Amino acid sequence: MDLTKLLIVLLEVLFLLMVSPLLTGVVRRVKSWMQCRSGPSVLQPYRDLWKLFRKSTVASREASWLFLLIPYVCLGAMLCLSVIVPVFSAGPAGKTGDMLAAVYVLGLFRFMMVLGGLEGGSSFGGMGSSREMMISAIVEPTLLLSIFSVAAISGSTDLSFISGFFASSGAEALSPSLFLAAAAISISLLAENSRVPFDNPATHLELTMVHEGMLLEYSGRELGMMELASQLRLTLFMVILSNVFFPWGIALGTGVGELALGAGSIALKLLLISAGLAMVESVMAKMRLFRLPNLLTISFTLSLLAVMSYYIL
Amino acid sequence: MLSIDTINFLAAAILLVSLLVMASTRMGQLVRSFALQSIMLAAVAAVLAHQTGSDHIYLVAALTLVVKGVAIPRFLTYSVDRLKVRREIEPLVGIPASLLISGGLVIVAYYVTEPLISSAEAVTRNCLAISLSVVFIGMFMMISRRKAITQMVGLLMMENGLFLGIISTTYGMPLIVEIGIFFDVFMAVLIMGIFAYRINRSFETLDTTFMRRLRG
Amino acid sequence: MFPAILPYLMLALPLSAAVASLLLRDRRVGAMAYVCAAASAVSAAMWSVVVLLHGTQTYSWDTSSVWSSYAITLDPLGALVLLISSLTFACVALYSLFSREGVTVRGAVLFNLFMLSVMLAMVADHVLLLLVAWESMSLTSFLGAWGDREDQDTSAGWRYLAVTHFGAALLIAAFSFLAITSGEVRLSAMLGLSGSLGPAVSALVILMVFLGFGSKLGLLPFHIWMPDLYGRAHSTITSLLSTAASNVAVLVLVRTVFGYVGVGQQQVLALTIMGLAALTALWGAWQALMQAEGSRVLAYSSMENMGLILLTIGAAMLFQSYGAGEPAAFALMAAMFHLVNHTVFKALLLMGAGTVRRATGEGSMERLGGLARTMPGLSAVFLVGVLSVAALPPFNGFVSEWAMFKSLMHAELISDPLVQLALPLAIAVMALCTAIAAAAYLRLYGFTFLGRPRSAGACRPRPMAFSELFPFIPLALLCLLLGVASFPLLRELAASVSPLVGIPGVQVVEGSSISLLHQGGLDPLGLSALLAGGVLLCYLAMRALGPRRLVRGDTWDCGTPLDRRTQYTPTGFSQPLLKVFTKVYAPVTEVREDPRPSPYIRGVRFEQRLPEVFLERFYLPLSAAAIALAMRVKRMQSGSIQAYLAYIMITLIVLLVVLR
Repeated sequence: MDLTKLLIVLLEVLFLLMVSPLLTGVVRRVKSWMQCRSGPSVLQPYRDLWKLFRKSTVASREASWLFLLIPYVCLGAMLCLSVIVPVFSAGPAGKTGDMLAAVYVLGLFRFMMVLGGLEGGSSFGGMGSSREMMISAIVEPTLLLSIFSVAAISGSTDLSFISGFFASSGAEALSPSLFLAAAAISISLLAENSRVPFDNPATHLELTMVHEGMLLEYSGRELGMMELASQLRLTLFMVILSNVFFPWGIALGTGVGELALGAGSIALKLLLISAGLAMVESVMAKMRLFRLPNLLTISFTLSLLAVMSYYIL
Repeated sequence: MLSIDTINFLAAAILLVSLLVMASTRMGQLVRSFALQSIMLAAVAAVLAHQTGSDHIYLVAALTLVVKGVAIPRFLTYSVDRLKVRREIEPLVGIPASLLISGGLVIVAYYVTEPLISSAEAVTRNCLAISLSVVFIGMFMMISRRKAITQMVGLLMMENGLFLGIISTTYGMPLIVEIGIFFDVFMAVLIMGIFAYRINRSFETLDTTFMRRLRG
Repeated sequence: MFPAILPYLMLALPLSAAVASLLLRDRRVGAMAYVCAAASAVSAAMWSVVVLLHGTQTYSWDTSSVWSSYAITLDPLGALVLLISSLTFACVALYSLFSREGVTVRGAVLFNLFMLSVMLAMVADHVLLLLVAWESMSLTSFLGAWGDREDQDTSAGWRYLAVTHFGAALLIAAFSFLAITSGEVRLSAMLGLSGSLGPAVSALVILMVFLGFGSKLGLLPFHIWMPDLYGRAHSTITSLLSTAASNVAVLVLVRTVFGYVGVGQQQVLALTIMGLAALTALWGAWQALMQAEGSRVLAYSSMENMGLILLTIGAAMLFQSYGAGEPAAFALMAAMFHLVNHTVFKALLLMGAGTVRRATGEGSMERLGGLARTMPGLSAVFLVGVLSVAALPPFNGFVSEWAMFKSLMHAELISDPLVQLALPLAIAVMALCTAIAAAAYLRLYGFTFLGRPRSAGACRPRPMAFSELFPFIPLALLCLLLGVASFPLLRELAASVSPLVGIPGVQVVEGSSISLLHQGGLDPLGLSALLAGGVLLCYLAMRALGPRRLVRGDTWDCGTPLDRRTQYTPTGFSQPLLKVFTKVYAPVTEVREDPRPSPYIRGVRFEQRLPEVFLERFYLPLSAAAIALAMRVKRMQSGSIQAYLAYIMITLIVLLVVLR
């Protein structure tokens, strides 16, 4: 691993860390605009995190040694993932990271978070954990099938390779299965990151909580870490979506100009996707819990069709 | 030639006596008919011995006479006296019907042995068929009668039939086998006698239709 | 000289220990028997290492028996499986030895005999040795599970015996047939018999072998005995049964299907096997989610893992039948690696579950909770086991499941449209299966160890001594080691399965990265390093912000005091998934109004029961039909002597007439 690559990796990780709270702020701002109010500043999440990191921690008496360990594992997993995912550059100059392994690292994050929800011994946490497992049980197959279809088209499960492949092959790689896989992954993005219609990220009412329910017992810097990890997860999903399905502008070499172009293009794409996410959230309402499997089955069918259409067409 | 005719005659007589055994309802008559059958069997063996000239078949004939012709019928009579049974009361299959069935069994025996004996000599042919008929009739007697003594006689008749078959086809077995068989038969009869007594003691009857505990 | 006595030690130690315990009936001798068992396991491990270094070894004893010489043989594939299995056995032996209740003579005898039969079955080279060892495995496990307590319902035990013997019958038939056809009784001399058997017959033989071994692995519908056995038996027996029996079964299965018989062109058979295995895995995952007892969850988890392994083996058969040797080798390697990993983490989990049950006196998760605070050591190692079984990095389950997924992603190599539809379906099923299973394991850990204790036993469990915890540590370390640094093992595995599919070798490991045909690889070492690095970075960053100020307080309760009943229950946790998959579970619900205790209080009773589908729809009707048939035949047995004699006579006459 030569120095250039190491430098690029470090830059990418820093970029992602810095950008994640900003994107959350953008989403909130756009949502408030759609609701005809001015809303908080886009820099507000930074201030929230800074406040949380300086506060003391209150842990439940029922919580065990695992409770205080979980935020480190979650944030560490997301940092690991940010190293794997191609941000500025892809292809031979980029890093190697398996897409399948990425899904499993996300699984580790979710597993730990759900365990954290059960720690406090309260109903909020249990409810959030139970609903999260219901959603994830149907979302994971969708993700894996979409990966399979993308891997089949590009010939590898390596993220950087896939990204470079689609960037360099241009229009001839476009196929209906790619489109279906993109649709399936978009729905999975909403599900995994607890966005409307799956969950309302701004609520604290127990009947509507999924993600927030699991985080209810955390406070202080642990809560800050979990919030940062969740924001990082959203950003990573958006990066995967943009760099796998819309990889135009990504750097295929290590030239400074290319990298600058890659950084600029990913920043632009992330902003666009955040704005799109905000609009989707404003237009739709949160669905009833037991209507969610219908939506998830639709996305599962889309990914299954993506795989089938690749082989049949 | 004389001997062959004699053997044929005796074999036919054995078959007739089997039917007679089938027809008898009284114990005394039964045992005496059985004794007659055994004596005729001994006679067949003697004639065969004369014909082939081997000495040990004479011995076999003598054994048959003594054991099956005299000793066992005496023992059976003794048992009958001790057990005070005099007659077979109402066999499961009526006498006329059982005689008809015995006739049918003889026909079946001839049918079954036909391919076996088509290539052999006449005397063997006849004796083999008759021996199989006697076996069948003995088995049928065991099925269709109630009293334990009658079933014993049926078993002994089966043994007679087999013996006839053996000596007519192989002209005698090794002596040691013969002696073994006789010993077997004697023991069987002794044991059956003891059992008959015991059955009578326990059940107050020798009617085997009362013994139905061995069921699923 | 020294290596030559290792196999003898391996077999002789448990036998003599069992005999000694049986004759002397002393508890100290029983404790020594466990030590002997551990020593035998260690010698088995050493022998495996010797074989890995020097190649296949065979030992035979010439007896003047009609069956020619008995022999045992260990090839590299068997050596790899035996190595990990024996290390696990040693840990289980120590676990039994150090358990607080002490040893029983009966337990020691059965343990040693079971271990002996398992090891013998793994190395047996003679058909008769294999079958006898298999049978003694079934018998010793049956006695270990059901012989001890007299007051319990033994119908589950008879079910186990019936299903196992049905499988054994199939195996005896299949192996005898192979022996007769080939004229060999030595297993290593039987190779490629599908040529002489023909496709239809070899398909039948393979199917019989699959179903025969599947009865022990929990293949649908032979799985009904598993939850009952795991629920009632002592954790020593279940730890061995789940790991050892499965290892033997899969090892001999792979050798038979790929080596002795050969796959040939059996595409339809491979697809059938894949379908059956997929259904098994799904059913295991679905049922694991709904169980109330921890040991029953682990029983269904075994079923699910075995289903996944068999699915991958079926995929290997499919690739092999189309002539794609390298994907077949990769798939076999992935399946065997998962088998080995399953041994380690399943033993860990079952030992943990047994310890929890003995320490608290409760088996059901509905009455546990909060054990992470009172038994922190056990909760830590159990977490390692749960993370491994849920296939999460950086542990071993993750690497083997990744490999199994990857091995299915080769549909473009085969142009048959049926296969191109089947493989994505298999991936979908596997993905659904692992997702549901992960929920089940999470529920297992969360409700046993976290939260508030739900009963008095869970409130004050019997404290654990370090000696009790000690046997768990090597297994947990092995889980981590196999997850992080498994490439030497994978290289050896790939080399040992390649001859089975007929290729000289397959490159699966480059440096520290596992890949096949350069289609994207996994670097488990790198990934684990990244994870550890990430966690370390967070820790350092947080330390830089200043020391943590921790205050203990109440759980957020909205003002009402919480007690043990105001937290989520395991049933409630899995309720949403029950609603989603309600067609699968077919729950039977009953709502009854209780008689009014007073005019002002109304009592309603809600009862929901999840029926055991296979038991009620398949086995019970089958046995009822069999009993009805037997009742009708019983009328033939009238008890009358005359009737029996008449049967004999009629049969005789008929035979004579027919055969003239």
